[in-house]
Amino acid sequence: MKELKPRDRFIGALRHEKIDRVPRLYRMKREAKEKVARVFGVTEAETGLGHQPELELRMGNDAIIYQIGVNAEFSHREIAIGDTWTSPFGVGYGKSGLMGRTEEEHKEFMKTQEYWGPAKVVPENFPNFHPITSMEDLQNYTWPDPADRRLLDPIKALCDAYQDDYFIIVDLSSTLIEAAYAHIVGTQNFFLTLFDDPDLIKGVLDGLTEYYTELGKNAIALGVDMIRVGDDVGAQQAMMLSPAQWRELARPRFEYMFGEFRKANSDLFIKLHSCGDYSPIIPDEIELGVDLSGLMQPTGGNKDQAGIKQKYGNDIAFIGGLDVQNLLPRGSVEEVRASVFNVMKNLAVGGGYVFSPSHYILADVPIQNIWALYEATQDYGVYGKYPLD
Amino acid sequence: MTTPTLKIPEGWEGRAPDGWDWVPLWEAIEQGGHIFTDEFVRGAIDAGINPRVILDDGLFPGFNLQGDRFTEQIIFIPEMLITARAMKAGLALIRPLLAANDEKPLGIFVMGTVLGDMHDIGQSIVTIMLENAGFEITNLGTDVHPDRFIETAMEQKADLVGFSALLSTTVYYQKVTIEEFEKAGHRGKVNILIGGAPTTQEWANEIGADGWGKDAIAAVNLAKDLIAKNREAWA
Repeated sequence: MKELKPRDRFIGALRHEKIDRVPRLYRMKREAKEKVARVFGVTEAETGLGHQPELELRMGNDAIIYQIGVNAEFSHREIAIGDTWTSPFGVGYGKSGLMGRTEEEHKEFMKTQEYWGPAKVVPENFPNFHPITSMEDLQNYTWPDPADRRLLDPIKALCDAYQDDYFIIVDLSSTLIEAAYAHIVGTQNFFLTLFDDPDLIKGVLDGLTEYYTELGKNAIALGVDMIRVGDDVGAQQAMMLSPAQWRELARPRFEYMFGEFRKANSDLFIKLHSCGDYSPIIPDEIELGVDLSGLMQPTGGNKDQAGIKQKYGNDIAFIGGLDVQNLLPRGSVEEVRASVFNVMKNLAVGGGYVFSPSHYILADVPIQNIWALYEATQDYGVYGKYPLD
Repeated sequence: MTTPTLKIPEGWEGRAPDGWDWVPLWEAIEQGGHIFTDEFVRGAIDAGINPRVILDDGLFPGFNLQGDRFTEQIIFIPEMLITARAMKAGLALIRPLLAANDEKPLGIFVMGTVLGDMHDIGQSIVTIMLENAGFEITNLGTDVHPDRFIETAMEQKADLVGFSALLSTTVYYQKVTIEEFEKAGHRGKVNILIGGAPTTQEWANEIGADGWGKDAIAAVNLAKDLIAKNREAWA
């Protein structure tokens, strides 16, 4: 089959059409990206709101994904140990402190991180202040501006520069339940407040729905191909909340949001993401008209990739499925290759699949495993060739 | 999948005053009624019921039922959390009475999330479940340096130590912390449990932990099993 343009390949996969090879979508956190950038000799490797896609395109990505939303504001930001940074959502973030270390000692420590092996510890940014914990907080709360040029201008620039050849995705993460528990309300408080003061949680979810619907529509007006909604409701072994409660809290709000998105562009593709085991709500995703479901975390409760593909694969496309918890950081090159082979066999046969690790490539992944991924997807991800013949 | 049922304590009528009824308390724990639980347990204490009986006949049936349902994925984190909160309300009243009766905790447990990791929802659920099951717990919170685990285990003469890690980038510190216990010469005195999303039984074996719990209920059962194991004594 003649080689397709990356954007046509990505769209072909979403539509379950015959394509030349499995499209790819790698995402990397700063430390991993810096590591890979050295191998490819790419210097433009910014992450977060300053995301530069060149390196991921060299890795074979067929789409460009740009993240805006709660997560984008904090997760790639430099926050010094001991400092708190307050996001436009009024959420405070600090850094895991490497307890007892000063910033200087921490820098010395970072120099000892192994380039070829798993990095030891990379401090992460974490929410340490949640702005809404009472009805009064909610009433006094001001949602950020969904027409913020700071978020929208880079999307326009990416569309202008790349959309002829590449598929453009805007990622609104985290969007609803996750944004509420992890950021706006706080996790334990969120779950208890569901019982103690359900109207408060509903108010927060309504506010998030309004904000992200407007933000999404503004991105759609710039011509993007897909909106990705990221909302972690899966824990390792099961869903965090019951499927019934998700159907009550999340589903009608997504129904409204996706309806508004499709009114703005009826050809828009929609992706819904959750970490962990979210398999009980895949039928709901299909009913909501979601085009792409991921990221198919293969560890914990949701191990039967082939079964899920067989059951739902005709009605929805899947992305992801390669283990980032154990395999990528600690597996051998041979194990990474074998796993790419299995994921392709389980999920890519018959189309409707985009290859991706089941999350970002993090700092702890050794460079040889990233390279093994790069090679193995070329070896095992071609339609008409084993194992996709 | 088996459908969990309420296990009614055998012969409970003989341990309570005439006409006493535990059903409202069983249901309150099941449904997470922490205010009702507080009031009901106060009433039971006032009625002169032995605190151990209040715990076993009054508080545990509803709690165990929800624990079984959680394991079977019939209920999820929110329902388990409100049941744990109700249980905690009852225990807060019972615990001082048990101590006054010279009842010892099931074991001393030191819990924390390892260095570099700020996640705490999982380990706080495990902490509540262990407390409810009768362990005395010191929770060191998140981002805990190996030295603090060791110091606290020494101070408390801990039977068990639990390391939580939610990131593939921080599970490494479970290994380091175990090594530090060894270097300090205290490894043989504590049973070490690990948990957290990216952890597995294989990882526990590889780093020499004594056990791995796939969820909060499994962690409690494991802790109960391990407490029976022979260990070196704290000086």
